[in-house]
Amino acid sequence: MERFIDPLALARVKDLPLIAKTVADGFLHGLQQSHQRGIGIEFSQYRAYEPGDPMSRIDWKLFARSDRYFVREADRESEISIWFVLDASASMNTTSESRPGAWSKFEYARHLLATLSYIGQQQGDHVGMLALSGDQQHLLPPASGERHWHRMLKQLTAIRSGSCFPDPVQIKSAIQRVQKMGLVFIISDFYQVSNELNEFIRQISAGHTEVVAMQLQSSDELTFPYKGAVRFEDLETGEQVLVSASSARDTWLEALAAHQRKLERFLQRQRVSLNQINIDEPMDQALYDFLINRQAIRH
Amino acid sequence: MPAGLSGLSVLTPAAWWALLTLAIPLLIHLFSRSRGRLVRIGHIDLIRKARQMQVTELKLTQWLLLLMRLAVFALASLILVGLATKGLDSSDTSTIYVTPGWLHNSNREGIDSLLSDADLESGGRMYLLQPGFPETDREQLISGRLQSLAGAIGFTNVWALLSERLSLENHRGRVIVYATDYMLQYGSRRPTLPRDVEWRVIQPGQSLRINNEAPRVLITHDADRASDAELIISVLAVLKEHRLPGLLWERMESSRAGEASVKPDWLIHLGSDTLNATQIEALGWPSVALTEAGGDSAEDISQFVSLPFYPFTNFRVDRFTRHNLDDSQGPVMARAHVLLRSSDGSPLLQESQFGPTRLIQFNSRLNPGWNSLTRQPEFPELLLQLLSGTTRETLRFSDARIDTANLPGKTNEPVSDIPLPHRSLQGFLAILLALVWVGERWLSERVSRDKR
Repeated sequence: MERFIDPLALARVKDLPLIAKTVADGFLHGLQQSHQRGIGIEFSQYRAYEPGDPMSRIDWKLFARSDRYFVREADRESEISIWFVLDASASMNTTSESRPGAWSKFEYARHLLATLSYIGQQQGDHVGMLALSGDQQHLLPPASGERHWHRMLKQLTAIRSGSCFPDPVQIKSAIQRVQKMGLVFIISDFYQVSNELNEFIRQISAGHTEVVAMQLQSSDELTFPYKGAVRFEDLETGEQVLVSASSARDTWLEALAAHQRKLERFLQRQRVSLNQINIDEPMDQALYDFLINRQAIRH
Repeated sequence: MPAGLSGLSVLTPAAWWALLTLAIPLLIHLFSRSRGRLVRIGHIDLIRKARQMQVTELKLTQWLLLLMRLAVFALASLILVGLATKGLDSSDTSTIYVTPGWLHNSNREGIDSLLSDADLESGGRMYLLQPGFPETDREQLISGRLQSLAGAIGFTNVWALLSERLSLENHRGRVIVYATDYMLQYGSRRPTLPRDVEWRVIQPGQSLRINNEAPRVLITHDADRASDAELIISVLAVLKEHRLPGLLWERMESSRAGEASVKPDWLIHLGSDTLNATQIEALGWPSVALTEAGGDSAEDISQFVSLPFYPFTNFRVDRFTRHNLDDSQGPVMARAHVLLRSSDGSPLLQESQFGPTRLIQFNSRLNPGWNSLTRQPEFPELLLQLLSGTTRETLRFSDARIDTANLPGKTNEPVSDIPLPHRSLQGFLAILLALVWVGERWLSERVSRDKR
């Protein structure tokens, strides 16, 4: 665990690009150190530099740390378009109260998106972004290059979460753009008021698109550590429920498990792979676990 | 002190101010009433199922905590004010008091009925209403009755005893008094009682029977006895108001006795001369005639005479005419039955039959200068007994029909200023306070722990 970066430490850093690069580099370095032949977004492996390899493929940062030359290899030669769909609804503002200063789901999602897109951009892939909430829609078509990535980060920084996830009918044109062949990451908590998120996934996965669901959960949500009188408020609807938390814990956990089973069944039917990420655990570890799972699925 | 707490008293009333501390937990409750800390979550559906039951439980805990804190301060206040119970006994069982009069007139059936009320198996107790309040049982009741019949038990002022007993003992159960209707005869001297009692009253004597037609009374007097006649008339007025609503009377001097407008039923003669047969016949042989003995043969004495069955009432006789019945000179005295004697044994009141008329002779005068009888509160009742003719059979003035509703019950006035014994409750309250305080700490700690 020590090789991963504590998310609380990252939360104290307010520089989004720096965090994304730090996490991505740490994650990639970790892969090398463990000699894992991981399959990333598009990344395959490092190998020792051999005469004839283009100099541009040398990882200079890795060289700085290890004093040896490594080049990156990819499984494929052609670039793909990677869409990052960010759920910017109000429910993403959830934080872990037991970890003061920690990121909210939305902040975590923003950094995760930045990190993944950085890795993709480093691989030369086209990365694009679609951030959705009821009252705003941020769309950045896929493109490659670091300047595009920085443009994406700038837009990402401007996004504010709020309201509910929009009805797919309202974002039909955006969906049509995302439906094109490629890879789509949906970063969300997968809580919805009615059925809008499911409908969105159904439409996205209907195309020739590989869809990866990144479900963000908090430690508080998973363990329900609350005690005493607690007034829970729904971030999207504003509805409040007062309970004695210690007595309501079992009810919560049962309801959460039922919700999770239902989500998994739905995603399975849509051929969407699900990755659960605890926002209170190191992000690079989450990426590592994600790539390991992805490798296992492919093999 | 509220009525329900009349058995309690406080030793330091000034400390009631300590009850103001009850405001502390109330204020804490009002101002820090937890509405639950706010936690924002993404999906309220996950918690909704746990709602109703948990809210109720939460409120109950808060209220329970408030009650326990109030109890802590209330108990502390009660300890400060020195809450104590009045009286020495605080049993919840029935207690029965038996007057000597009831015992004297009881029979086995009555005693069995009393034992049924006493419920001795459940802890009920029976006491004789005598000095010392001896506790008794069935055998002692029977033997006591026999002793009473043999004259071995004296009569006492049961009202005073009952009042004293009820003041000293804190009876929380039923209190039943077995008595005779003589209880009422204490008239205005009857004390109030400090609590409710149930009465089981028997009427051993002959009841007063009044003819449908109201009795008519003729008062004849010597010329110098007009004031005494007025006194008798005031007594008759009392009887008319309280006993004999249709009572009629007429007053005239003895010399004009023959001019009476109606034939009297009762004759009261206030004069120095004794009534003779001619005079009585001239008045149509009234059913009863009350006369006096006085005149020149009267002598001065100073004696106190008790009225029968009025053990604490007596009157002073300063002047009377001594008669020796054996040396009686007339037919009246020879057949007389003595109703009352002076302390040296001389007849003071006697009754005889004179033709169809019952003749009652008082060997003094119905005059405050001769004796204090007419000043006694019991005098109207005594006069009624004499005139209504119940004295010969029972020698008891018991014919006043009694209504138990007239008997006194609880009163708000203290019986006396005698300081009553107290049994302090501070030890008990301190233990209770400690228990409640431990409970409050436990619950409070649990709530605080839950909040952390």
